[in-house]
Amino acid sequence: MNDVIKLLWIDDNLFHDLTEKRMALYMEDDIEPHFAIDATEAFYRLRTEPFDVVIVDLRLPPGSDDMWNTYRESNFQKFGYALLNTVLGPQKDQFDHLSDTRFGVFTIEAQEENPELFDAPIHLAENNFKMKTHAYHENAFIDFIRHVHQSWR
Amino acid sequence: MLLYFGPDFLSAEWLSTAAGIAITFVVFIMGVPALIFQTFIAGGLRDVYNERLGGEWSRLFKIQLGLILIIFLMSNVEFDKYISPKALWIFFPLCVTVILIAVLFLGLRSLIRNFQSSRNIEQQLSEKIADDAILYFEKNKAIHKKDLEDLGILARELRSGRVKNIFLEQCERLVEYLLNVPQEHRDTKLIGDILSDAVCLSVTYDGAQFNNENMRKALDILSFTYSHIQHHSVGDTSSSYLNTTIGNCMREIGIEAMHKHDQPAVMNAVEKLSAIEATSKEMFILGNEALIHGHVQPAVAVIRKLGGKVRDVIGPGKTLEYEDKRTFYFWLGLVAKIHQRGGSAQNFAQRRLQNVVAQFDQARDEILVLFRETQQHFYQVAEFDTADAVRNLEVALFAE
Repeated sequence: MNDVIKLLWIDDNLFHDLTEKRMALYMEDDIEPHFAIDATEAFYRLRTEPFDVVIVDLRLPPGSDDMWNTYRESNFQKFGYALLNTVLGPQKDQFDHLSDTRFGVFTIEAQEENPELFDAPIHLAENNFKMKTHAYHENAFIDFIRHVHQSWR
Repeated sequence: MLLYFGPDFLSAEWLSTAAGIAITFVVFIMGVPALIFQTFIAGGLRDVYNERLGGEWSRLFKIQLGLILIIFLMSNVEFDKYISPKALWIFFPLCVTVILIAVLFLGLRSLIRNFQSSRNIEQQLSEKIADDAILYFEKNKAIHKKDLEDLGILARELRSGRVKNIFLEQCERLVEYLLNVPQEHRDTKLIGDILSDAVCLSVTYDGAQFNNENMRKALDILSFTYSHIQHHSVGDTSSSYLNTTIGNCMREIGIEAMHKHDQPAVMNAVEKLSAIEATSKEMFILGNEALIHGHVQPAVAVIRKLGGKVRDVIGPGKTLEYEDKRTFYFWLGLVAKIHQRGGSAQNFAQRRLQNVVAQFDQARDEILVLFRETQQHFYQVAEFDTADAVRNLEVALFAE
């Protein structure tokens, strides 16, 4: 049963604009989808559960935890980036169970606006970055997830 | 016009006129805020307001009364015996002027403050109760019963939308404070009470208007509490009580959202519920309720969530623990109910069953036992529809 991709998709629009993509994931036999809508919720899920693929929106709300206060104070908006930076950077030791996890970014911004994603500590593969557009079809998104799953981080 | 230096200064007539003016003024500055208060604050909140924030009125009234009494005393007590005759001409006019300025200033300040505060009465109340509760806990390591009751009143009485979100933020602040208390002093029962009697109640109360933001905020608080307890507790057995409370609250919120046809909130509740241990029953209830109300999507989400858990534990020859068996029962019960809808729903159910049943090709008896146990489980709890659906599914799958 290892052919099922355990996915965590983190986006605050999951229950609104992205409803169709979210439901399409439920219908795929080879994807077991899980969702989080802010950085705090995602952080705690990532701390306890292993995932094969994690897809992150960069412009996330921080959620309740005080751990994001340093970002909040500097009026930082991209808590998706803060999450990736935390999980793959300073607190990496707490996330050993994610050593085989592939990370992807699905966001409204262009790749050129986020060069820091491709540097340490995140080292995102360029092909694991996908820009959100209103014309992006559900099947294309599902293919993107499968692509991220097969990629090397 | 005050006649400071006339022959009637501080005479009986002068005093009765001054008293008349003072009473009119006091009635005005006390009456206008009372009118505003009646207009802006909901009936159920008035008692809470009077107890928490209404003390200033009586203090002001006493001070004003005291100041006016001083003027009367000045005219009736023979102060002039103790004052140098040279200073006498200025002493009484100066005292009366100072007293009158004090009366006017205090009255005006109170009036302005009442005008300003009438706009955010609910917000002030929420903050005050949370502050009082935290202060009381710091002194007594417990929450005052009255604070909990008042939170419950606010949960029921506040308008949905921005005002209720502010209330929920204050509840979140209180819960966060209690979560950060050292583990030996932490009271999970107390946190559970706040979650169920204030946070959950504020969005599930019968009279509450529906608001998606409020639902989301309440679910966030519940989810955050669960995560915090999981990650900041060492061997804390009492957290299972909190898990149960959080699970029940999420289920209630999900059902309430379903009755209000708010699909996003229902799906959010399913998602957050699935991340909590031992909540397969709550998830089944939510999925089943969705099917009863004709909403298939939440039921599909529940089946996938429970299916993931079932897939991890089930297999021929494997011994299932009690909780895993319950997860299987609830998963199979919901799959059976989707199956009996026919058409595309049946196709979806068959695809979900494929992965599980195919494993038991060489151990048909084992899977049949699980089917029978599932029927028995639902029969025992008088879920006859589900028991029948499982039986029909068994017949459809293993007719030969």
